[in-house]
Amino acid sequence: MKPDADGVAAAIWVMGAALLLSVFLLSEEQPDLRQWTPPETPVSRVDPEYAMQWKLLQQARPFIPIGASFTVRSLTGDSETSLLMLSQGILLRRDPLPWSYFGAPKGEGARAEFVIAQNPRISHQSDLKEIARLPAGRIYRRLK
Amino acid sequence: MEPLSFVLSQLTFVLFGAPAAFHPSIRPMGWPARIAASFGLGAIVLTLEAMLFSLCGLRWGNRTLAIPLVLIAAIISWRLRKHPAEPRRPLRPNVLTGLLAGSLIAVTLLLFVHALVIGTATSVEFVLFEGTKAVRFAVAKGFDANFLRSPFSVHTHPGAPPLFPATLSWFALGREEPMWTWAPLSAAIWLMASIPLVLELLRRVLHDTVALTATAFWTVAMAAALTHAHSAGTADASWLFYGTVAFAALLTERGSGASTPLAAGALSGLALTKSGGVLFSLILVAVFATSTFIVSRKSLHPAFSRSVGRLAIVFTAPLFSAGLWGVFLIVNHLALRDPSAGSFSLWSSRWWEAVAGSETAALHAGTWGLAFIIPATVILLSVRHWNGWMLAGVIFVSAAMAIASITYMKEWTDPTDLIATTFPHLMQWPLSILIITAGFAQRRDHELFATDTSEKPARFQQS
Repeated sequence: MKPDADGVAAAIWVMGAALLLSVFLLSEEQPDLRQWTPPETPVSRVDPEYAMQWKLLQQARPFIPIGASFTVRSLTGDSETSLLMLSQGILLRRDPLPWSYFGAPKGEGARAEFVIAQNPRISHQSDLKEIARLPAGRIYRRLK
Repeated sequence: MEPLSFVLSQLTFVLFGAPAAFHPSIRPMGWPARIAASFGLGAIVLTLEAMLFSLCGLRWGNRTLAIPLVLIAAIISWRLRKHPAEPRRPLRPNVLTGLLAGSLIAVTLLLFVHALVIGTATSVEFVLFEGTKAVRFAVAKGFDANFLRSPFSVHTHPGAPPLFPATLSWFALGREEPMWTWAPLSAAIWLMASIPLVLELLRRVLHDTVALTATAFWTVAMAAALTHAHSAGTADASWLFYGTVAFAALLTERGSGASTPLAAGALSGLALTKSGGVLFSLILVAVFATSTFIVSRKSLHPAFSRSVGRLAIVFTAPLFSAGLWGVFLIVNHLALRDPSAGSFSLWSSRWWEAVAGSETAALHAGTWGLAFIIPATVILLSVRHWNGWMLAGVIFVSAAMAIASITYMKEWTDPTDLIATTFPHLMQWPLSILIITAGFAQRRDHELFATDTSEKPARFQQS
């Protein structure tokens, strides 16, 4: 290498870094740097569907007592599975029982004390009593 | 104060891993690198202790976990500081270039932290399982075997090594709710911890100015890749930290043995972070054994068996860490193999077009692929200086890409979507290795590197 090889190498790296930073700033949808407010849910700015489910479960939490069992209902198997997954992290110290898991129906949900329904049309069961109406769903309690 | 509380909770790992900062092989580095090494070691020992607690039926608590670790760390650090170490070589880059590189690093970190705070780099995996495991472990005050054993926890990858959720649980003990808001910041902490170590390891072989500018490039590239892949809230940044440190330590020591403790520790962290940790540790060690063979044979140097012996010692660390987690899984009747891992068909060439096209697109890494193209070009232009050590990086990156491609080719269904969501994560570590290899390609004393496998530590005078 020539004596000034280090200078050439440093120039390559520093110009490369500046180029990457410019491209990164241009290629991504850069948010306003003056905005430093955390999102309403951890995924509000990356996945609106999961964010809506997260909010439903957070709003449902006061209605599900500690130690109680609950199940989650939605229109599709996929959204029912994601609701169950999210509930495991939000409704702590409670017992989540799946109505379905990865699209396969499960019997456990039928004996849950509470039902969180993302879509209220799916829970017309005579042994369920509605106890709360939330913006994104309803909460039912199973009658003894 | 919650974000500060989260950051401070993660920084307590520095106390747990303090012996790293006083080890004779790390003491010649600057304080930022010594603190970063302690941080990495602290996360490992906390995870190992948490495993022992759960195996013994002891409940976690911040004090009960911290007190033994701090005491042990203090004793070991006190003993290590008596061992002689080489003096530190002050960092003396060209002032203007150094300021420019420092500014690029600072701006990049500001943008990265901003993306983490406002949640535009967060992975859905965080809310589906990584964060869920962290809060469940915190509530159970242990690795909750009942939860992991449930047939409805399969999506959480119950057998996956627990370092990342364990480090979040450390904060979430009694504070589950704030964890969900601030845990993505951990990606910035792991990235920032990597920077001084990358710099110090590159300084072993490069002029300070070149090492600093290469580190700036590495920082921008990795921050962009982590943001683009939505890696916040996942183990990606910690995997990148351990993988990068292990590779850079082995590459820049060139078989001298000076980095055996650092590389062993880093591979131990790798094995505790993701399921492929032991496999990739083995591949890394095998690649460096091959490099040592090539270098030794070329110079007729008798150091080959000695170097391979040291590499074998390095590999015992990840085996031990993964083994302890394996014991926990077996004792608790949990599957060693990830039950959510799909079944594969036999090799099929029907997806090669989808794999080639999707993988190329997924190399975007937030920089239109330039983060890959620039270091690859540097490596190709340095071809006349290639030797066994250089080949280590090239072989490892090629092997990682080949393993990923073969796995995708064996999918039952079109892997296009799978590649789009997983390949950007898989390629972060290889990208890091590519950049460090390119930096290594610009070393000044090629003849010495072609033959040096002696015990002599690598020290190069500034011109």
